[in-house]
Amino acid sequence: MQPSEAPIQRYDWPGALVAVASALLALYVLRESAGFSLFGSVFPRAVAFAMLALAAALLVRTAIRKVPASAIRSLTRANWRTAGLIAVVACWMLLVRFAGFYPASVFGFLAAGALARHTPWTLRELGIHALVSVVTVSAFYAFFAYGLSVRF
Amino acid sequence: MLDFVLSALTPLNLFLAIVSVVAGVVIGAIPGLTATMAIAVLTPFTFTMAPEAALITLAGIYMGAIYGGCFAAILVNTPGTPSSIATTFDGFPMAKRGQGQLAVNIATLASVFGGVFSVIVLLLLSPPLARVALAFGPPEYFWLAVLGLALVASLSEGQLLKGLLGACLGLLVAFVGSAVIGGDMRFTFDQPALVGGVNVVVALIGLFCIPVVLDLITRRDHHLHVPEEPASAREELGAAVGILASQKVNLVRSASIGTLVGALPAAGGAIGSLLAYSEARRNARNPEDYGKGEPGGIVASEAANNGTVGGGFIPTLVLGIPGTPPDAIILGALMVHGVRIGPNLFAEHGDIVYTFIFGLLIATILMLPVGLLVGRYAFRLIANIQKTALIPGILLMTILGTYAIHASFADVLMMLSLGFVAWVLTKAGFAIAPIVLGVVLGPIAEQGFVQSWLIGNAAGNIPAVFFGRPISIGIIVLIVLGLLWPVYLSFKKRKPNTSRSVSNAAL
Amino acid sequence: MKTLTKMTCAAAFGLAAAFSGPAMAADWPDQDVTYIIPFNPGGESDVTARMQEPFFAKITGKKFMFDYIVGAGGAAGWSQINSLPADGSTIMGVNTPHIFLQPQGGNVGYETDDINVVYIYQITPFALIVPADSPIETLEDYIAKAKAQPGAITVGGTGTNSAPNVAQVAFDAAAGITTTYIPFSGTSAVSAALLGNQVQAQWGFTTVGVNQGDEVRMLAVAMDERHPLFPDVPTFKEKGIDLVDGARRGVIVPADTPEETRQQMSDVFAEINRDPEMQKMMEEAGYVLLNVPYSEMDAYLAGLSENYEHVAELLGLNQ
Repeated sequence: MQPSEAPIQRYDWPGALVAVASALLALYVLRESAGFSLFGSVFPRAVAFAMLALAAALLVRTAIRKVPASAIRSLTRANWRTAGLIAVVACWMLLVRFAGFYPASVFGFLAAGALARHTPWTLRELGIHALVSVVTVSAFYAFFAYGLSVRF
Repeated sequence: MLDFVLSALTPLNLFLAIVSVVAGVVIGAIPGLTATMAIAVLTPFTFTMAPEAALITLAGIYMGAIYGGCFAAILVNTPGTPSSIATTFDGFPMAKRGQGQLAVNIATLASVFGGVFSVIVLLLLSPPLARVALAFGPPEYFWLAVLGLALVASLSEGQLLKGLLGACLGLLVAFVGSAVIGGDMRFTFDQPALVGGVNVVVALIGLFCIPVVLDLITRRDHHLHVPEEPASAREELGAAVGILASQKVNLVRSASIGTLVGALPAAGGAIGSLLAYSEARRNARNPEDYGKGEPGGIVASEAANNGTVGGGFIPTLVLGIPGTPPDAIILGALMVHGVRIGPNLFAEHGDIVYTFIFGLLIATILMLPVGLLVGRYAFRLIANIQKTALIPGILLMTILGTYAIHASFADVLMMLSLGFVAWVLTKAGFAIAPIVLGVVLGPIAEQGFVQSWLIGNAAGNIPAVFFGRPISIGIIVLIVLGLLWPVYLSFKKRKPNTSRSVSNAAL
Repeated sequence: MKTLTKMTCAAAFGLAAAFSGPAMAADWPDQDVTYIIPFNPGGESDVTARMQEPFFAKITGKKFMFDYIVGAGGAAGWSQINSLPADGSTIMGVNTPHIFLQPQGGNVGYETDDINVVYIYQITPFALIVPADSPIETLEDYIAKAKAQPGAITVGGTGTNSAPNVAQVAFDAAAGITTTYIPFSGTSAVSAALLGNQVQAQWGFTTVGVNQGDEVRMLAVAMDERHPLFPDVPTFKEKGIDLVDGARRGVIVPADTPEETRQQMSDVFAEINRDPEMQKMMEEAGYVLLNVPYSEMDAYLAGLSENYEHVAELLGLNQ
């Protein structure tokens, strides 16, 4: 008889990290709200105290209880595509500052779409995607700028 | 009365009703575009129309947009408008399971029911309901917000600590900006852009959309499960009707909650649907299924949010006090048309008002075929679209939509930053819904609390203000029931086990 | 049938404008003017600006193109005005006491001196309002009740350090009483609170009296003489309290706009206000026309500034 495999248990360190960050945020809120008027500070201080209590409780729980490693692994799985997308969006925002909304959006659409595909690209498919990008972005941009009179 | 129905059915008014509803649905479906924005943009075009035509157009857009929000909520887990937040709780899980078409159909039917219900109430019960709405004061608003926040506890089964912590984080976001009470500049880091606070829609888009997109890009397969053999349109519709028939009580209760909350000035559509969802869950036979793809959740959320549209017109038309932000714009449009708003509106301009109400009724009924048609194509579109277009498409819509709110680039940066933080939090096991509840309900809870305190302080009796008013007591009872019910249920479930183990041990 | 009349009017204006040159030999405007409203569409600032439109078209033959920059109670727009084109093509609405009080509360993106006002065209006078069924029937009742129980009277208003707040502290100081001010997030919230008897009174404006009609009773208005729409409502002055104030609305331009253009703008707005139809429309909505031309602006604003310095002290803004 084979012994049943017990799932590997790990400590919930992401949860603990957030608990610590929340506690620090709460302390900051407490310090800032000391300068507020009475009524402007009531709620923020109440929430900050609640956060401290909750963060402490969460820290204790993550120290005591273990969770299945699969839960944490799947939670923390973020591969290079995710990092790539974050970088693309960051570039998109920078480009808006320097090149304007429209060009930046075309770039963003193109790059984000390129990242989204898990199978390799052929040149033809890439070309179609570039065309789709320009058309889609133009359509949306026109709708917003002229249909909704948004100032760009 | 009959001649008002007839004047609502003129070809021009009918045409406007259809066009405005369709436009509203499309606008509501795009994350970042809200009903308020659509109405604001289109109001000037209505100045050349007759007053009742203008009203029908604007109200049609409003009703359509509130309904349209369900598409993005169900198919992409992003509320198209704040009123559709609760639709994501069950709509998206259903879509992931392959029941997306069914979910959209249910949302359509529920929305039309809620809308028609509220317009009929508007027609028949406006004056008494307006008085009831006035009886809600700061304490009632505070307790309503608490009732909504208590939903956090029920949504966070098993992860109560993280849920509550998330709600606190959401509340903090709501505190940024110039405080209504006290006037302090809070947490603005000396940035003029933050003086107005964090716009709810901006926070909503960021908190919901960005984690979805960042998650989508890691998957190979499509996020929506499309069934191998999709059912025919008639079968899907039949199934949806069947579900609604089994949810009659939920349907009527949610539509009522939506109508009433819409009639409360300073409440709004989001709170209506959240409260209806909370109550539906509490009264259901299977509360544990809520949040995992229970159709009743969609019924509650969508019936209530369209209910707020008709409900919002009650104080607007009876008292000249707008029930929801789009109503304020519509009132302004009425003033430009030379219509004297205020308590004499029904008396002085009864013809305009009644024609408008019937026109709105017709537009809402028209939402049914429009919705079913659009729903079918929307579902097919999102289900079949390539990821290479879907992911950048969502990003583009959210960025443009956020920018369009106040033509502010700072808003876009805020949206992305909040979204990034939310994504990090989901990696640590936190859910988005509690954070959003904090953001939406925070201002109402805080203002209600401090205003009540000031009123109670002036009267020299603070506890009486919070605990001594009949409506407040009713809401507090609901809160206590809502918090205790799951405890009682789990207690009941354990009892048979203990008696069984005792009898086993005895053997 | 009203539509037909309106459309005929519009057509008539259009034809008249096309066929006649501008009524005055002015260089401004030489194109349609972008009129930016720093508040939500449909709000009072929007509505009053739109009231000026047909008269502007009649006088100059050009149109207003309305645009909105919304946020932070007007600060979003006012902090951006000086970066907009200064060739006379762009103007923006402005409100007092906002531009005096907002910068004192923190960094809102502009200072009062950054704002260049060319004309102030209306004032919406303060009014002290109670529900129609309130036991408080006159201003004397109100003051007596407040003196008997200091702080017991709850009076609502929109926002803190805002116009209604100004009215409350100024009146309380002048009358020697204490009342509790309850801030609300918007006009609809405070109106609902008043009608529902959640608060006992409201610091609002004459427009509230128009909009809520018989549901409310105005105890007094902050004007020199009684408002034509409300001949039975006394002024604070009559009752011995020197409170003549309200929310003023005007027009501002980017800082680099040339002097000559500003003067011409001022003249056009003055002419708009002279039109009897305009006067009637404003009055019927509860507003009071005001005429502060560009030539008198500096002195006028200095006077207002001094007044609001004093109010700011009462509000606790000057630390």
